Amino acid sequence: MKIRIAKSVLVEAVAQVSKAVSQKTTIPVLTGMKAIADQEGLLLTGSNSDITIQVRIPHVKEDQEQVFVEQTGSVVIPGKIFGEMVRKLPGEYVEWEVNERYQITIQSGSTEFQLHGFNPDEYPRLPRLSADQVFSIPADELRSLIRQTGFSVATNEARGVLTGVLWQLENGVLTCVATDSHRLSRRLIPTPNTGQLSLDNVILPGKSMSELAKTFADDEDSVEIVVADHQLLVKNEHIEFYSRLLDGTYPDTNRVIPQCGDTELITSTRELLQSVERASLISRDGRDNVIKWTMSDDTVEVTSVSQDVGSVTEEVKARVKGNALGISFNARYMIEALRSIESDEIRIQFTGTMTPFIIQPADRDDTLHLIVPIRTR
Amino acid sequence: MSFQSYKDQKRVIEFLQTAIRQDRVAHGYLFYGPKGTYKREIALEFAKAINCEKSQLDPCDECPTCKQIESGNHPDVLVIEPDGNMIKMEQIKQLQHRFRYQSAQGMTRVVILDSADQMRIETANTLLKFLEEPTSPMLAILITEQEKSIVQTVRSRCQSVRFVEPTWLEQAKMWQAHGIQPPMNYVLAQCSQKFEQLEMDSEELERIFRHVIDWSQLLVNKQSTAIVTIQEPWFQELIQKKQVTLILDFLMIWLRYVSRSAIGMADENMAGFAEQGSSQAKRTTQSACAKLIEQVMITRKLVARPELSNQSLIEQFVIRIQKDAPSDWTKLGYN
Repeated sequence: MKIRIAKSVLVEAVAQVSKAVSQKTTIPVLTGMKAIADQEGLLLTGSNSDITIQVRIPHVKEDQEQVFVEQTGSVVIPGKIFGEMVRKLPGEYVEWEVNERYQITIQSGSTEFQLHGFNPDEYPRLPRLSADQVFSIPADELRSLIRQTGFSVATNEARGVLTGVLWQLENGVLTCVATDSHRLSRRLIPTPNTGQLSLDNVILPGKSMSELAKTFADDEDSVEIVVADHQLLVKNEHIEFYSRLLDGTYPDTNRVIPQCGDTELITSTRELLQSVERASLISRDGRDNVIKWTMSDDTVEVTSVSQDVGSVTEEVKARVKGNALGISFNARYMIEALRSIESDEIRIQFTGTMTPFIIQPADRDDTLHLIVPIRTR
Repeated sequence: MSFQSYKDQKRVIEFLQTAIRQDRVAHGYLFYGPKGTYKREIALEFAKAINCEKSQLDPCDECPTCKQIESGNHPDVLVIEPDGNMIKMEQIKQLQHRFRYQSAQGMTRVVILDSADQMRIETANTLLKFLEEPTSPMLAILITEQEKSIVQTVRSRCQSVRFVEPTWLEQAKMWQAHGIQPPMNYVLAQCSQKFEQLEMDSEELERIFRHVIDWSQLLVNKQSTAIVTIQEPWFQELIQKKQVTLILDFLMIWLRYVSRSAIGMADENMAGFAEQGSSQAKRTTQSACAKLIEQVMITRKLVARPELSNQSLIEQFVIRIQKDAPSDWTKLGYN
């Protein structure tokens, strides 16, 4: 393989790919990046075996030639050193040549680097994808979806599938659910034009979700999503993000979500969040971070008591319908749920002191958070 | 590499290939047998054969899957070996982390645990839970030299595969391949030495062997100078290197050779020592030889005990021979 490439383009691509490359892997070849030069340009791949990021540098972009491929070929190049090296290269262009024994020569300005590469056949292969399994959603929807569900996944790896987010596509609606069995978050996104396409039991690891959000952080357009051969692929024009899927069957969560509430509370998201954050100052060192709400006609009384620290009481104005109720729960779950909600007003529905309650934005019902209360004496 | 390279283990390989052919591969195997029987190598070949893209009974070694497994780059094939002295809990956790993903289509995941006996009971139980609840096709191969030291609960979930030790003529060939020339390769084949522990060449070994022959003559004749030999540099060097077992093994082999020469059944492979052997045989009675062998065997056992000093054990050994003491060492407090 022999190519000439603009340095700025290469630096940007390598920075993207580096996010997936880890030095702490048990698979030696994954410390490298795979580079393929073909007729269309250069393709860079980085992977830590959980996630894989692939960046394509097209031959020509906006009428400017970025890559000139003199001879096609592929190689795996040591990742860490290459990432640092390209940033420090002096010239505007980089000449890159690989011989048949995977010795890499990189020349820029008056500098010449010689690196030892690996055989590209050793690199794990990516699944082949069929074009009819594709659907697309706007990138900002994807980011909001991740922000509103990602925090609810279980962090303990022994929890198996609960460390991931369930993706379901049915009748033109994409549903994402995350739960750690104490709280649950669900987000629906309408996806028109998906036709007969459906996804079931696709479980994306929580870590991949946050990496996914970072990878497409600045994207304004739509992204395409494909599920194939135990991987999920999210891509736009240049970047392809693959994540392996978790193994196992996700539990049916529909049954735990109550359909109606005896007591309904509507209030300002911001005020409620601030009051919970204040109450949490007292409770946060306790074992379960417990705070208590007592609902009466037009107020919520937020209290928190800790034997070692002290106590706090506060009243928040709210519109309450239905029976008066007192309920205790983990303040952290509430804070995380409220922070993820973008609407000004929220609606909370209770069915009893010992049953889960649901939190939704007052103006839309595509987002839902559920928290299981704590029994207190 | 392919199955063909391990002709010594033909029976095992045929057994594994039959399992593949009949599509009856178990989900857990326990490979046990002495060192140097290529258990780990065959486990890797087995992983390749199951997943080879050409689906042959013998891995092709050419498809990317085979190559990736060979070089340890395949994400669905994992080899775990003791980190330090033990397989740690951490490593089993890592294994669980690695295998919580769905594997690629048609892949059977393989985990190979080398020295699987080097595991605490808690670690073994974690592994057990993992072995018992496979979510997708998975194969675990446990490798050990001591079958019985694998926890019963884990052992009962695996199919045991015995690896047979090669005959000592084959071992002699292996030693020759390691650069030890005859006749010393035949001598070593009868010892309990392992390739990786030995840091000597044929000449050095032969020199030691000749020293041992001289020493054995002093011992058989109950000469008082036998104890002085222990202080000689070559002997002290071996004690320092904790290689006393080598001396005792050599002594044993030599005495056996002498007593066989006496009845005209000398080992032809050791023809280089024939003259010395027959001359010593003439001067030694069979019963003296047998008594000496008995003492060597007892000392050999005691040397393995870390709390006893090798130097004093050897000295005691010499004194006991000279005094013609009874072979009951329990009176000395050793049991």
